[in-house]
Amino acid sequence: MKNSISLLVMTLALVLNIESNAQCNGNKCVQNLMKYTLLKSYDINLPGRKGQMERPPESSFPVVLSKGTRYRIAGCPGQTATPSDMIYALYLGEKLISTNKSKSGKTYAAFEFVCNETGVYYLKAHFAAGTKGCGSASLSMSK
Amino acid sequence: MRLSFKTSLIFTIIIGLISCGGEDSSKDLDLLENDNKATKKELSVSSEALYEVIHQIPSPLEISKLIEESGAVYNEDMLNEVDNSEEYSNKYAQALNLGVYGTDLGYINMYTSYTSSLIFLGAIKDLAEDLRVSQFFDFTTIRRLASNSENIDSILFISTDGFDKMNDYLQSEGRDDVSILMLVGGWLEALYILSQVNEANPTPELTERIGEQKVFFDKIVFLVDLYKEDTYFKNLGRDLSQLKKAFSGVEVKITEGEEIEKEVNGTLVIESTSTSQIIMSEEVLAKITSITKDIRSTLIGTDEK
Repeated sequence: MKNSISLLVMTLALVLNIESNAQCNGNKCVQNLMKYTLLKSYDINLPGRKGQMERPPESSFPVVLSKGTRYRIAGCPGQTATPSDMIYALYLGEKLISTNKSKSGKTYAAFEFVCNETGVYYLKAHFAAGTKGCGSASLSMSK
Repeated sequence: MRLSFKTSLIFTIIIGLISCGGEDSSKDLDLLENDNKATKKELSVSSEALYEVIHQIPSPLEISKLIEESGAVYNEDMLNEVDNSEEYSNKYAQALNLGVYGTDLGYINMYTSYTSSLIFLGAIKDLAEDLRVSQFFDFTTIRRLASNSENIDSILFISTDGFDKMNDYLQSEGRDDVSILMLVGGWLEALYILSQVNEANPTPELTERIGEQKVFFDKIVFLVDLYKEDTYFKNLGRDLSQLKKAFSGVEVKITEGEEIEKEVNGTLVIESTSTSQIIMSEEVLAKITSITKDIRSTLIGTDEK
């Protein structure tokens, strides 16, 4: 009996964990496969900003982009976040290339990048106001 | 308390796994643990730095796409023979050639040659099983998808994702040597296919992509050098040093520019005016092509494996 209760508790803990993860992890950011070939999907799981930290917690992924290729960088926030909550950006070294928020302030679910310089870029993501959040981002190339 | 259908289903599956997994699973875990103890070595870089470098190697899939777009005819004779997979008896040759076959599979899939795709998938499955990383590659789904030509994108994604998961798992288990060899094998095969296609039907785009590999070559050498105490890696490093000499004749010229932002049909589009340009003589190109062919031939060869 004792064993059965332990097993039940363990199972419920696992179920809760699975359901919690289902909101973010495992949901690959796969979109528009008719127009793009998906190269990689990235899981993002960030803690909330602590105290007076200057910068919100950020995920950073190195990506190799090649001259002559049109890429699509998309973000898929978890179920508890809205598209405007997740900010993702493309950097070349320290230089900011673009974010999913245009200069006019409009937020997009994805942006395209026409690459003319081959190199190692960085895809970085954070949640607005440094809140805790999760989701995924993807890198695709145009067909 | 009433459990939802979903919860009950998961509960049943877990009970099933606990009761059925049993002895074999624990044996597998023991084997894995022993293997990790045997292969894990103290590296001179942190795992974070290693992750960073490993992800700075280009995807072979992009090169395959470029080749397909160049109008080059599909040529399976260039690829590693599937029968060779049975001869790779140590983890080094298995890991390196798993990377080689992974690139070959990407090339095949770009040309939607499904029969070949299934045959090469068999070689990948065998090597992945030998290295005990086959659990990250959904062979059953890929086989099912391969029966329909409209599923190419799903096949490409599942294949790429499977290789990514294998790499992540190997790194998390401290089996970085296996992960590095898979990466080197995949990169070298991509360079080999690219240079062979370019030799037969040269185009400015293919030539430039060959020269661009200089940017990533130093990272490949860095990764191999991490295990230079190991004879296999030492020999691999020696082979690659010939390629280093050839790449030293390539100049990468960067012109800084600005980013232009515009909205096209509701999509935010960024175009960079920064450009990279490859300056390389015919001689250097011929050297890279020839040395890559020699190294690749040694690595996929079945002698002394």
